Formats: sequence, structure tokens, C-alpha cells
Amino acid sequence: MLKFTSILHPIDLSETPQYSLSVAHSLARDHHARLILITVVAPPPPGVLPTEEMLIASETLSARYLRQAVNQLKAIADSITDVPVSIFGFIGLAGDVIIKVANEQNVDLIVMGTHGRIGFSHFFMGSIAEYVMTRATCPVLTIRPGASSHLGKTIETELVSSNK
Amino acid sequence: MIHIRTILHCTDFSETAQQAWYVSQMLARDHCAKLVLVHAGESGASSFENEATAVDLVDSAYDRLRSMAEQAPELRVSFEVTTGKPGPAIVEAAQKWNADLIIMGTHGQTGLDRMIVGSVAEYVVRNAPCAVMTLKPGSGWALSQERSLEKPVRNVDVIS
Repeated sequence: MLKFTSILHPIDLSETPQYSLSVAHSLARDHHARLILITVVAPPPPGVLPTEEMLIASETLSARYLRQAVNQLKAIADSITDVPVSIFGFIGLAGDVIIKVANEQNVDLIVMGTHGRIGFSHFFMGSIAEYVMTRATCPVLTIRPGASSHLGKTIETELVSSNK
Repeated sequence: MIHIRTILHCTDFSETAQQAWYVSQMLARDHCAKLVLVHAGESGASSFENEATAVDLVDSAYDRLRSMAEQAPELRVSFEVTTGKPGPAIVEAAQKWNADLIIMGTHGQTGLDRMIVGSVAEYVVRNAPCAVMTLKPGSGWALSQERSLEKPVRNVDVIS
């Protein structure tokens, strides 16, 4: 049988309900896999900030966003009790970071949504998903929100029951 | 647990698609899912001669799909050859067969290949009515080779 031992999910914190997260979670449970959740915050844009103070301020802002995002990730990780979860937060370009983490952690599968944003990044998930699927060395599972399927229905029921 | 009932496997008969085919078969086995093999051929029939060629192409594509299906006699396999633009044809097939998952290879970033196949995968990812799994050359191969050495960890879950 096909067995995934670690599944990477770049999380979209704005997505409600978190369909792609629940697919990643269910797959991790089915395969007894480790779930790796990552969030990426965009760095300050280079060369557009006129003064050093503003650059520092902008870097501080990125760091603050990262802290917020990681706190949200922690809360999500705490709510998942049936599979081992690792979380990572980065400042960087989402696509590059996802590929880097996937390679470093030797993941077997990347699960990602195609809409919404990742973390507090400027980048939309769709273009990131396309970037990732042409570069990842493992299979990439992409899920559009509202892609109504048996898969989705199962997940929804599961979400409700796991909230109890 | 994730229930996959119908897997749509897209193939252009390339090596990459062939690697993805192993993953499709394994997933179908794991989930007792039905497999639908789709070859989205782009027919450029603009004249009479071309039309004849297009019919030949469709016939030979059916033959190849049939022989792929014969490789997996234990699975329920259907197949279809579509004509017209591959991206929309694949999305339409996924709707028609009520697929839960589309599996397709992408050629990664190699010039013209990416222009052609990459854009099909991108179209499908953006417009599919279900989840899409894309595999680059090598990625599915490693997975399937490694896994084939392993014994099943547990029995296949009974789908309720």
C-alpha cells in the first residue's frame, strides 16, 4: 500500500472551514504520518523603504506577524491530538520556503489549498501551489475550496465530530 | 478517514504519467476505488486527411489505455479518450465520472514541456471539481519503489 510517513501542509490561516487542513490531517491519520504545518510571512520588500528606520520598523512588523501566525499554528497543532504535529514559521518567499522545508524534512506529500493566502504573505495560494507543484520532489495534492466531492463531505462530518 | 471512490488518472503516455500510474493503482487498491483512465488528446482535425489521422490517434490511444487497464486486472478500470483542449476535457471528465481525485504527472520545468503539460496541470488544479495530485518526474517513482518493498501495515479498510 501507498504509505506517506510525513505530510507537509502550508496552512492558510484565513481559510474557514479549513478543508485542506482537514484533508492533510485525515491523510496523516490514515497513514500514521507526521503532519508538518508551516506558515510563511513575507519579508519587507527590498529597496522600496526610504530610510533605515522604516526598514527596521517593517522588519519588526514581519516578526510580529510571524509571532501571531505561529501562535495560531500552535493553537491548531494543540487541537490535533491523534497524529504527531510539527510546526514551522518562516519569514521568506512562500514557494521557496515550502520547497526548502519539504526537502529538508524529506516529506512524502505536500497538501495545499489553491485559494486564500498563506500566513500573512502577499502571495496568493494559487500561484504558490503552481510554483510548488513544478518544483517539489514529492507528489503535491491541491484542493480547491468548494470542490464538492465525497472527500469533502467526509471531512466536514469529521470536523464536526472532532470538535466535540 | 479519507474515502476515495473514484480516481481519475490522466495520461499522455509519457514516462512521467507512467510513474503517476503506479501511484494511481496503489491508491485505488488502498481505497478500493474505481479507476478512470483518461487520455486527453488534442485533435487538430482541420482537413480531411487530418480527420482520418485523428481517428487513428484516438483508436491507438484506446488500445494503449486498454493495455494499461489490463495491467491491473484486480481493479475496476474504465477508460476514455477525449478530444479538444486537454485542460477543460480533463475537468469535464472529472465531473462526468464524479471523481474524488485526479492524479496527473507534470513535467516540471523543462522549457516547452512545461509550456504544454504544465499549463494543462495548472488549468486542472485551478478548475477541478475535486482534489488534484500532481507528480513531477521522479517523485512518484521513489514513492512507489520504496513502498513496494514494504509489507502492508494493515488491512484495507472496509468502506462503509
